[in-house]
Amino acid sequence: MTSAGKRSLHSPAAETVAGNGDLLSEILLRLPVRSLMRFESVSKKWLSLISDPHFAQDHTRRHNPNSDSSGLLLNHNYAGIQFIPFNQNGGDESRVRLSNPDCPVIFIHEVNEESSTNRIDIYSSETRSGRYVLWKPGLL
Amino acid sequence: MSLSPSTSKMLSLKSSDGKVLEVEEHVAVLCETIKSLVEDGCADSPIPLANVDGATLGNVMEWCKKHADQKASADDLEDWDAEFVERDQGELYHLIMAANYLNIKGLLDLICQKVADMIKGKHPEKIREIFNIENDFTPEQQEQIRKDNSWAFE
Repeated sequence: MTSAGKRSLHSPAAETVAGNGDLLSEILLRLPVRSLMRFESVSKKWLSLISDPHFAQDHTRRHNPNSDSSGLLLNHNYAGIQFIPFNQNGGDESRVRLSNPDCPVIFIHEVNEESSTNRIDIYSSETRSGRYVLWKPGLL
Repeated sequence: MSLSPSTSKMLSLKSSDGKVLEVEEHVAVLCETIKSLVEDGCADSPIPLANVDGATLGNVMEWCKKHADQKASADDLEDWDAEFVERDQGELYHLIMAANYLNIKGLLDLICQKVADMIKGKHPEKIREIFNIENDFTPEQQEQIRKDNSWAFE
């Protein structure tokens, strides 16, 4: 099923696909978050597409069909990544109570808006404070 | 009159490079674009497909034929699809464009997933090579994004 000749890394068709915002989204929606975060530094166009709140929403829906569409991606000790939906009853603008069967309740003490992209710094009341990634920017 | 596959009428499809492919109607209508033409009675022969070259059209119809086969089980199709996507990268991107133009959701899903699996975890520089993308960030911007996303690079 492969065409004859040496496989070249770049094909003009790949460029055309990536130049089409709809098709590029179709591909990016199927990537895990870690890859998406890496690919934000590919170009301004990729950054803007990946950090778009609608894209984040579509991505969350696709990968977490049963969860509420909002939540945090926790990167525990830089080891594993976990999606934690917001507890809808518990939050206000600066304090959001998170609960999840797999981890203790975490209170967000500080939310620092850092840039126009969808990342904030969050410090938990647990000893394991650190950097967490907000994947649903529209909700805080 | 029966519309069973054995008596399905044939449609002629003409590719962008002038190749004409005879395809059974019940296979070709997996393309929503062609289905609409057939339903509207506009499927004059041959149907010109200005955005799909002959080789890609052949590949697309191979997929449609398999997926129009009533006898194929879900497992069967999954195995077959897994082999179908094992092909040259250029062909995959042509298939994405064709599946988009002909509006074949199942095929578009399949190939996009394959491409996503191929590029997953790659370094941004590699991604720029694959898609011929120019890095339009300043070094400072680049550094800031890398810093923000440092965990994703570990």
